Amino acid sequence: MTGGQNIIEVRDIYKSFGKKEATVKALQGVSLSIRNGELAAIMGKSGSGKSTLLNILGGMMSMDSGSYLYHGKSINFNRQRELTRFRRDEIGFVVQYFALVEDLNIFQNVALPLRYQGYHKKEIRNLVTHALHELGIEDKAKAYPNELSGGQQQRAAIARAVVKQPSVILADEPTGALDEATGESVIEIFQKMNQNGKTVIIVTHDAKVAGQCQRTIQMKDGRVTEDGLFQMGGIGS
Amino acid sequence: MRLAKKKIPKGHLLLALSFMAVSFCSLIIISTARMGRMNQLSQNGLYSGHQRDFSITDAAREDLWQDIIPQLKDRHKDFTIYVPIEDPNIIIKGICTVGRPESPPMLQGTYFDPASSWTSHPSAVIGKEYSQDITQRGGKPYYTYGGIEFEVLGIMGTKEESRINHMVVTDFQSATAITGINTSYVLDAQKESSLLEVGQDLSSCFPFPANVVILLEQGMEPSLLARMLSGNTIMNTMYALILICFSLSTILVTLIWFRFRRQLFYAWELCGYKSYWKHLETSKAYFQVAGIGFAAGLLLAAAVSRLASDIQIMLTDILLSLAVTIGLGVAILAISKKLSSADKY
Repeated sequence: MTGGQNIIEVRDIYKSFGKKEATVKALQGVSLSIRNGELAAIMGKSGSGKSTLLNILGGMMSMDSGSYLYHGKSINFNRQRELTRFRRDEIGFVVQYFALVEDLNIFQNVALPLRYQGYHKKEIRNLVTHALHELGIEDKAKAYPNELSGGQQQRAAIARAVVKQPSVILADEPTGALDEATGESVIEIFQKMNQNGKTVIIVTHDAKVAGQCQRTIQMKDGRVTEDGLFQMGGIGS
Repeated sequence: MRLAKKKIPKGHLLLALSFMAVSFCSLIIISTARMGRMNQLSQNGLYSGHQRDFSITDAAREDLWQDIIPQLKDRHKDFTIYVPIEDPNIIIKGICTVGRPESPPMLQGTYFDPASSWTSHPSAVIGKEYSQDITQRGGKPYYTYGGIEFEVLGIMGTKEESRINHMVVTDFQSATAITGINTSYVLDAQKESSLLEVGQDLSSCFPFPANVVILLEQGMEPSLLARMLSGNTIMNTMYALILICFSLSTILVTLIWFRFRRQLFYAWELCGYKSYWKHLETSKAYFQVAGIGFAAGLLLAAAVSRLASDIQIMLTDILLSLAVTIGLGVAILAISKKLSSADKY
């Protein structure tokens, strides 16, 4: 599903790490727009700056210079509180190694974003159960992450990302730690979410995964080198 | 590791053990220090350890103290004057205190303070050996000595045999009524300097022909090293060093605990947790574990005190040790948080 207006618009983003001679320029003037309801892939080799870009889009990392508009409104990266609220209210993150908390069960992991939000216990139970049901792991609510397969853990991580119904889902190498079949099923979940109106941005180095997205943004050495629409299933099929 | 089917987060056990060691150590230090002080107090007959005997002779008026005590109270804030009553059957003395007197262990009631020690109402704090001599009148307990009925403010004493158990302390005016003004006294103060100042003032306060005989040359203060190496202090110094070692090791354990919780911190970051929530959650988990460690340390200390009769743990020791553990916990958490803040996920 592709939408209309831009939900995310970034201009001339620069980001570097380290100091003096050891400086690594991760992003060098990246500009792009993501439309509301888009399913986009950011592709590139390791070190191309794709994860850095995703972290900046999600408000997890500050940028050295550039501008970031979300729904046409500027995000102030100098105000940590604003950034945290933006991340809490608008973004759902999915990462390669799931980032599930080992000593919390799946229910507790998925409920993490709902804490301190003024939800009643019953509401939390309903929302978490619904998210787990949507991802087909309702029966794993009481299990601990290490008792689940990689695919199930990633589903739990996705459930945590979507439990608060954010507008944008950012996934950093979501299939990187999974076998091919499981990876495909995870991508199908993202496609389904996109069909339900979510904006999904996936960072991947896998052309097959990118091929299942509507749009691929190619990055190299901290710059966007290609930006185009894929025919659905183009490379992967 | 699981407990009641719930996973115990990594590092919790190690942290609880560290706090158990810290609280056990602080409990032992506090209780042995208190008992050491009580033993010393008992051996010194309730004197602080730096006191001077003095005597008054040729005072023309018996009520001279009525003029002099208010003057001394106005000018000095740290002194206690005792007036021992000569009696071969009982250790009995009157007290007039300003500031903080050495306070014996109380089994009931309260000890003298500046108001209750300088009063015209006969009152006494008696050793537990004389508690059976108490009579009740108008719902109040009284102890009779030398024909005077003293209202009993409290009963002092120790579990084991001590001089305090056989002592009676009365208010100053009742005691001087028995001894008369021309008698021997003991001047006591928390600080040697206060003692010398009050002593000098005392000599000049009494009008002719009264004579105050007091030796006021500077006493030899033992050096810090000598004090550290003496009797109980050497044990307390050792316990304190052990406590410092345990506290330092708890910092390391807390750093490890933080490392084990990086997954959780990252998940919080992804979920957009406010820093206030993160601090609240971290402190809550930390102090829950520290509390369990404290309880375990308390049980261990209780077991040790059952086996070793010279270690007795009282409620005040527990409360003080809890305060020490909380204080150390807050300091360790703050230091560890600062040290681990550069350590990102």
